[in-house]
Amino acid sequence: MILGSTFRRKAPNADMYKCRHVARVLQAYVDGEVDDTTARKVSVHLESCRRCGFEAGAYRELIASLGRIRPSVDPETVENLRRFADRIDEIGD
Amino acid sequence: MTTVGSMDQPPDSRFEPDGGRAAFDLYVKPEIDVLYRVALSLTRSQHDAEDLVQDTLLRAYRSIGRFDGRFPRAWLLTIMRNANMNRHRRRRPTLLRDEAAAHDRLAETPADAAGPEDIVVDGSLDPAVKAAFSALPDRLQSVVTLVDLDGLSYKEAADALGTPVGTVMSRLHRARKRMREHLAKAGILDARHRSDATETGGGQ
Repeated sequence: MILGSTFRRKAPNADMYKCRHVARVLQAYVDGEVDDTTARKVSVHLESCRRCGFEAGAYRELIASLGRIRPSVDPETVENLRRFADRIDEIGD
Repeated sequence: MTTVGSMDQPPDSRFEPDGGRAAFDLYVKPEIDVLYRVALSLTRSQHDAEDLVQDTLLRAYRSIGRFDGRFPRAWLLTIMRNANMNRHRRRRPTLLRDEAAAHDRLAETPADAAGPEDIVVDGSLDPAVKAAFSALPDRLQSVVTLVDLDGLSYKEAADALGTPVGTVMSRLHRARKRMREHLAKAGILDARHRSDATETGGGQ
């Protein structure tokens, strides 16, 4: 819910986004960080614009890949931290 | 007496003498996984990350009475950021109560949890993305790690880093563009999409 109001002021037509406008909010749109109105306008644009649609797809692929290369965390360490939290009242007082 | 608020329930046993413990269990314990991931991102060391989470948990427990129950993750990330800044200032050797156990754990586990042996590589895109990510400067890597690898929102990443949301956003977007350029030079992702775009046209 970050980019909508700023962007709306600069859009020449409140109902239509052009490629240059979409380019400014595309990553935030892919991240789900734009308001509903902006999301709807970007979505409408992407349905009819292959180039921006491909850009959105490329960012989604990149983000999905980053999710896959995420390092695994050591489950034993997490378990140790949970045990630490379980006895926090003994330690923290 | 705690003053922990509730979003869905009226004040109850959490306001009783043991309410701090109940609030801690309700708001803090579910976030331990995320806290540890973020701590790894901030410290880049398994040992330091574990210490930082313990420090954060202690601080959260001691201040839970002042927490209003809203946005616990944001609250905890702010505590973690402050704890991390203090650690840099004072560099205490360890917060672990059981140092022997800590040393045992360190001997059994790699020094850096983000070592390549832990990376799951899937298909041709992922190794290239990993290389592109590694080529980013630290400042950009941190934001990508928090948002794309750890799954934080822009606001949560901003809380963890102590920067404005706009800074997180601009760094993240710049980082992804750089990674796209890196991949494009290797003929990956961008080239594939460009050939699709040539077939179908577009642009308005």
